[in-house]
Amino acid sequence: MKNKLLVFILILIGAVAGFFILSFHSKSSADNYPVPFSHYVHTTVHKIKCVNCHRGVETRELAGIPNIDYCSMCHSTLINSKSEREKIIYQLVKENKPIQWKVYYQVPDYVFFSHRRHVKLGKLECTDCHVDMTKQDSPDLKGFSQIIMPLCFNCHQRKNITTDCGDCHH
Amino acid sequence: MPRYGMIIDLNKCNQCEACITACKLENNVQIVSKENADMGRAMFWMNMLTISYTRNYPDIRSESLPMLCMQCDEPPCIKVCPVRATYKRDDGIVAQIYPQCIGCRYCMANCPYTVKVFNWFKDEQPVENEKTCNPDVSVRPKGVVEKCTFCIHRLQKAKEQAKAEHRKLREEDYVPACAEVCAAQAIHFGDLDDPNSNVSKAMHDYRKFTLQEELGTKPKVYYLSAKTE
Repeated sequence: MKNKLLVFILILIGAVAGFFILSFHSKSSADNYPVPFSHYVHTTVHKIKCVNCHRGVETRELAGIPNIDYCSMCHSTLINSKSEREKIIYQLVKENKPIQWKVYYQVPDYVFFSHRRHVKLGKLECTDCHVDMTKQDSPDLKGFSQIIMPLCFNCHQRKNITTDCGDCHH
Repeated sequence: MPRYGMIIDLNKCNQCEACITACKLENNVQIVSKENADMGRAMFWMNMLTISYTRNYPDIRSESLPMLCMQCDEPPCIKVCPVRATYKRDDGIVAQIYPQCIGCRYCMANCPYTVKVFNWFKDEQPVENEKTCNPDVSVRPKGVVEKCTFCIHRLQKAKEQAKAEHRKLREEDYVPACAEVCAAQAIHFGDLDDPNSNVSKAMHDYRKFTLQEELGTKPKVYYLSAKTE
């Protein structure tokens, strides 16, 4: 009797775990952001360049994520009053409430990566390291391209750029 | 390729210890508690070494020496590192790669100048200090050895800036924190191979000496002795 109960509990735990794992995987990519933000609409439909919002790309180490003030430059009025998505951001702009963006691309704190060094001086494209965001709403976590050291090394060795440890780890 | 080196003029040095404070802040060097410091676990990348005291009590004067990693040309520390966590770069700087270090402390034992320090504890800095951390330097985890790297992160920044402005790296672009902060301008820093650099000019002084020359480590940190006669 006891064994049967144990087996039943184990099956139950397995089912619950399976449900959670599956539900995580089937999450639509728009859920990866705190607001229903679409990279596709901004970059492909409205032809906004990456640098226009991620303004640190060519001048600083961090690319930066725009705050709500920056969104308000376009979203202070309703552009398309039928869009449900736009109403949410319009409301946030009105309340001047900051958006808690999630950061998916992050290097560990013992790695020093400068966007300016790579994009402005090294003439790299965003898509060399990041997923092509002009085709999707938000980074897809399943096909998420990870920033790992072989990725850096591939490029640095091919282009004959320093591979000295101390240049990136200090 | 430059060969970076340093000269410390002990005649000019007034032992204010500004360089030590600057180094500690610039490189996020851990501040350890008093009990641990008493056990000899205080952490300094640059320290003031008291050599002797002269005169008697009310007028007592100390003779000190700012001591940092000597950035040897023949570093004894890299010869014993089993994982190549410490190595000599092409520009002469002896760097330490913290993620690679396994904390065996062979390098500390083999360093004749005892300038390498070990992280005995997890970072104990007060919460307020987190905001003053330098984002260009990593906070070292517990169990790794660390040392002065001539503020190598400043070199990277200077190189980047020079490239953005389409010019060569100038001498004043890259200066370590200790040399920058020295009020008495006792610390000269620059390329030893460049005959026009400040360092090369200061090298011609007859007072020049290095520590423990007989060991053949060829340090790139030189001192100018305080003797006047």
